[in-house]
Amino acid sequence: LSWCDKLSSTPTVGFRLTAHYAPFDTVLKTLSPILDRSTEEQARNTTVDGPSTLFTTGFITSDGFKYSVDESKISVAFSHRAKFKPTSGGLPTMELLSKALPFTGLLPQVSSRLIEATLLLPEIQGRKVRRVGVISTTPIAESDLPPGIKRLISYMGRPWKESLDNFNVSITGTIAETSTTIDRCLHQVTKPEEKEELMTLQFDWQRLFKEERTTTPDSLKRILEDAKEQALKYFEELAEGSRFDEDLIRESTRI
Amino acid sequence: MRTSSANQLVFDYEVVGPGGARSAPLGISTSSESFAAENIAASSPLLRDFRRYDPIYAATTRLAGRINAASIPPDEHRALLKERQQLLDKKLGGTISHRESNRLEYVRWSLDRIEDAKHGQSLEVLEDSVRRYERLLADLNALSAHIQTLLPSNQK
Repeated sequence: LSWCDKLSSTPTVGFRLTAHYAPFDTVLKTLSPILDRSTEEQARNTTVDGPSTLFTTGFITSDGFKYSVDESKISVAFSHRAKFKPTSGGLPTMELLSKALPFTGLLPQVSSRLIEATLLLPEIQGRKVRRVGVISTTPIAESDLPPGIKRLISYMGRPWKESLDNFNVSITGTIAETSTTIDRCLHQVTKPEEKEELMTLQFDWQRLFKEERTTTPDSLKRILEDAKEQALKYFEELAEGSRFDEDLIRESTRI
Repeated sequence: MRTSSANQLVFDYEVVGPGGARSAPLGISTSSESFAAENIAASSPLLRDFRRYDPIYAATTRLAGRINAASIPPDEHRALLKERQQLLDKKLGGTISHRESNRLEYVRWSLDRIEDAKHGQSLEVLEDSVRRYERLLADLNALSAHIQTLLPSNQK
């Protein structure tokens, strides 16, 4: 089990592809086999996003899978969905439409949905993969933070003697580079001003390909499998926190 | 981005940032490189600010986390206990490295989460009962003090 499971984090996976400028209605039409699987009840709870540009579209299925597409990016995220259910002579109750699953249980589901959706995109045969990303998003109370994240926050707060009321920090760091790939992670940690609100942790692990990859089903599957493995390994490393340990940092930079 | 839905009573829980800025915590304003950008841009015009549900969400997240943590396979749990013991032996022997010490802290945290998953809910019920009795005691003390003030001075 990953710490993301223990804290009910939700996953997003995505590809950055070579650009193809298809209008949003064409994209929606090509993705319609996904929507066609919905029952009448599920279709009522499916939300389609209006376009912000001519090439941007997306929808959320009734069970919480959110597809987002533009000319060069496609992603599938999971977020919980709920609806108010009126009751006779009483207050409305809230019903969860999405299923509560651990992060590592949701990850294969969003991944297979991403591969399916990518292969449905217009002109996909001629397009290439430039980047793959795996995101973990966790709303969390400060008292529940894993020790490594606590250490990261305390490391960032040193100039203010660790007395931080609220913050919104975003750091993109390169993790590893080979002759063919660059791995990096966008770390976003937010603590709102209001004490009763939850903090948000978001870790966006990305692999950039120096040589673009093909979009065959096997290739996409392999890319995502590697990405998931490396991302989970890095997320565990973050939660353990040796990367933010000042003594270890000092040791590694000592001349 | 506008959103259309056949059923507007349905909504999605999304993380809201400081000052209600939905995009802020997930980086859309600082980086268009994140895949999360599109996910945040798409939001419902109804019930936009869900911050008031945070306590409910926190409670349900904790519950979901507990369900997940409680479902840890026994082998994995045993492996964590064994690792903690090995690291503790090193610590007591004075041979633990800094990195191992951090690992020990993480293993302890993981085991705490599992313990919390197993017994946390019962302890919270117990804590609630204690809090109710403490409140009752405070109310009784206040009532007694009030009665004392109403009594004629020779009966006090």
